[in-house]
Amino acid sequence: MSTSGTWRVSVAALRTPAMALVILAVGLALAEMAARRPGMREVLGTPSIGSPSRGFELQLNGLEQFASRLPVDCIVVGNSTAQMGVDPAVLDGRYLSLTGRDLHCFNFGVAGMTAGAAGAVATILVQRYHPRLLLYVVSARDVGESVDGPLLESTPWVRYQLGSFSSEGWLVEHSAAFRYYLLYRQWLEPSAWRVAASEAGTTDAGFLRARTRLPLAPEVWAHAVGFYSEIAREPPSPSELAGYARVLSLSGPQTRVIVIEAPAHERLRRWARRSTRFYGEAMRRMRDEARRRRVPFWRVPTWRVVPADGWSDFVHLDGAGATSFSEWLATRLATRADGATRN
Amino acid sequence: MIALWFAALIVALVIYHRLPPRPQICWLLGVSLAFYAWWAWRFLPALVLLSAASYGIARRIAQAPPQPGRRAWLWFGVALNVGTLALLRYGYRGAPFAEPFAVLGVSFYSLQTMAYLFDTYSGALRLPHRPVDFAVYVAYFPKMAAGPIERPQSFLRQLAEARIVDDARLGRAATLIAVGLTRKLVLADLLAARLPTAALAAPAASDRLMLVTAILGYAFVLYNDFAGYTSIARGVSALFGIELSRNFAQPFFAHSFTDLWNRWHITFSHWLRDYVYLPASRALLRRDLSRGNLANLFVPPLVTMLACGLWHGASVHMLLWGGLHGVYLVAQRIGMLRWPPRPGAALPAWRRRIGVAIVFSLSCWTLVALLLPTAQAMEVWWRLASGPMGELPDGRLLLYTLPSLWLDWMQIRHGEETVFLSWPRPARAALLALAVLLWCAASAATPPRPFVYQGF
Repeated sequence: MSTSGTWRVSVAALRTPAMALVILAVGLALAEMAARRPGMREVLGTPSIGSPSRGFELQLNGLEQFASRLPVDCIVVGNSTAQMGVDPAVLDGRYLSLTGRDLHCFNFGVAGMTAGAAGAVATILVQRYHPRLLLYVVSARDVGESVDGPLLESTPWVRYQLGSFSSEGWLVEHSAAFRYYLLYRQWLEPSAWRVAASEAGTTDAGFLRARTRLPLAPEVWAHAVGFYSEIAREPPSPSELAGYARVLSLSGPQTRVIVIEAPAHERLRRWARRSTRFYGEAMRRMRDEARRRRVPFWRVPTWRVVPADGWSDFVHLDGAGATSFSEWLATRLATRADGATRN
Repeated sequence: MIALWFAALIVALVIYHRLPPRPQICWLLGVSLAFYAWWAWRFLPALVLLSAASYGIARRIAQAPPQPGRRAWLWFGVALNVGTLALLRYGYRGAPFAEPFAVLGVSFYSLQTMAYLFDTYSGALRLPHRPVDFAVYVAYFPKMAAGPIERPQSFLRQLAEARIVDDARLGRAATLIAVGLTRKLVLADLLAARLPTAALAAPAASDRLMLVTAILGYAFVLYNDFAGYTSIARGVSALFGIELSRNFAQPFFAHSFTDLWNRWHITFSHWLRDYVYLPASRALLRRDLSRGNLANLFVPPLVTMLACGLWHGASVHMLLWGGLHGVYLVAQRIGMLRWPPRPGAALPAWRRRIGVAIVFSLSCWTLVALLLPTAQAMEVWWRLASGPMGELPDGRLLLYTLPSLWLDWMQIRHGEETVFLSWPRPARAALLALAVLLWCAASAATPPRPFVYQGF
C-alpha cells in the first residue's frame, strides 16, 4: 500500500476484505460439511445438478436411492410416454412369475426427453450402473427437429460426466453444498414452480402413474393433432438421430439395448400414417438403424396390449394401460430376450 | 467485457495516483474520452464539439456586456444543447427503455453543459476555468453513461483541490460500489428476469394481481437498477478522489410528491427545480406576489414535470407520465394552501405513513405511462380497474423486494448511505462475504443486463 501522492491508503484498509475472505472460506467449508450430512436431503429436498428438468434430477436421485437398495438389472429410458407407460413393479413381478428369476428395473423416463438428450443420459446411466438391460422406449417425436425438449445434453454436469470439463460440472460432481445452492436457485425460478407440483407422485422405481385421465374429447384430439402436425413440419433431425444411434451403440456384452416403440392411441397412429410422412419416415429410420446395429426393435400391437380405457390422453397410458403394457413387456422379455435378462 | 472494464479501471487508477495533480486532470480527460470512444466512438465528435462550443459560449457570456448580449449568448447556447440532444436522441431511436441505447450519455452531459451556461449567466460561477477542467466536468467517465448530473461549482472545485484517497475514502468508495453491485446484480437483475412482464405486454389476458405484481416489481427493478448504477459510479469516482452527488435517497419512503422528487433521481429533479421550476415561478411572482396567484400555483409544476417527461422521450405517454406527476404536485400545493405545513413541526407518524402509501401507490400507478405507449397504458389502467382479481402472486418474489426495503431502511434509519462502515469489523466482513457470494450466485443465475438508463 502506498502513502505517497494522492493514494494514501494504509495496510489496515485491507483488514476487512481479508477477514471477509476468511469468513467466506470458513462459511463455504461449514456449508459443505452440513450439506454432506445424511439427513440434509430430507430437510432440504433432492439437490439439483443445474439441469433444465427437475424431473430428470428427481429421476437421478430416485435411481441413486434405488441402486442403494437393489441391484439395477434394467433401466427404462425415454420420454413421458415411457415414464407413464412402464411400471417396474408390474414388469418385475410378471417376469418373476414367468421365469422364476428376479429382475429389478428402474424407469428413467423424463418428460420431454428427446433422442439427443437420451443419448447423453443413457451413456451416463450405463457407465454408472452397468445394467444388463437398457429398454429404450421411443416415439417419432423424439427425433423431431422442432421438439422443444429440455436440453439435458448441454447441462454442465452431463457434459462433465461425458468427459467435457467445466467448473460448474466439477462443482456439481464434488460439492454437495453447490448442489443445494442449485436447488435454491431452481426454487427461485418461476418456471420451476409449476413443474415441481406436476411431478409429485413418482414411485420408488421411477414410474409416474397418470393422475388425470382426459376424456378423449374433440379438443384433446385437436390439441394432439396440432402438436404432432407442428413436429411433422420438418424432417427427422440429424442430431436427434445421432443421439438415438448413441443409445444403440451402448449395446454390447455387458448391456443389451432393446428399442420399444412407445404405445400411441390407434386413432392418432392412423392419422399420423395418413396425414404426414414424418412419422413413417422417422420410425423407418430408427428401425433401420437398430437393424444395422443388430439391436432388437419391438413394435407394440397397441390394440391388443392396451385396453380401450387404458389411456390418459392420446399418447400417455393411464394406470390400467401401464399395467397391461408392462405385463406385455415382461412377457416379451421372458420369451424373446431371456439370455439378456439371465443372471 | 466486465473483466476488461475492471482491468482498465485498475490501470487508470494506478497511473492516475502516480501523477502530479494537474497532469491527473489531463489523464482523467484522456481516460474519459477513451471510455466514451470504447462504447460509442461515432458520437465522440458530438461530445467534443458540444463541449467546445458550450465552453466558448460560456466565455462569451462572461465577457459580454450586460443585457441583451449575455442573454442572447445564453439562449444560443441552450438552443445548441437542446438541439443536439433532440437531434441525437430522436434521430437515432424512438423508444426509450426498448433497447441498449445508441447515443451514449447525451441526455446527461447536455444538461451539465446547460447548467454551466446558466450558472455563468447568473454569476454563480466564476470564470475562467481551464478548458481541460471543463472538458473533464462534461466527459468524466464514471458519470457519463447515466449521471449523476453534476453541477459545475462542486465538481470544478474538486478539480482545483487535492484529491486524496485515504483509508476512509477507500472504505466509503468500496461500500458504495458493494451496495451498487448488490442493488444491480442481486436485486434488479434477478427480479427483472422473474417478473410477469408478459402481463404488461398483453393486459387483456392478465388479471389484476398479475398486473399489480408486474408494476410494483418493475418499480423495484427500476429503482435498484438506477440507484445501483449511481452508487457504483460514485464509488468508482471516489477512488479518483472525486465525490459525485447523491442521486437516490430511499424514494419509496417519500411522504409527499415534493419529498419524492427530493429522493428520486435527485440531481435531475434539482436541475429541473433550479433551471425550470424556480425561473418560471419567479417570473410569475414578479407579476403577482399574492397567494392567490393561480398561474404560479399551476404553471411551474406542470411545466417542470412536462419537461421531465419530454426528457425521457418525445412521445405522448411520456408527456402523460410527466403531466400526471405535475398534477400531483399541483394538488399537493393546493392542499398546502388549505393546510399549510407548520415550519419546523414534524409530521405525525400516521400522517407520514399514509403519505408514503399514497405517494408510492400513485407513482407506481403512473409508472405504467412511463413504460408503455398511451393506448397500452390505458388498457392496463382499465384492466386494473375492471379486470378479474386473479390469484395472489408467489410469495417468493418478495425475496427480491424485501432486501431492497431493508437496505433503504438501514440507510434512512442511520441517515447515512454507507451505514455499514459504522458496523464492527467482523460484521462488516461477514456482510461483505455474503455480498460477494450473492454477486457470484446472482450473475451465474441471470446474466447481468444493461442498466436501464445506460447511455440515455
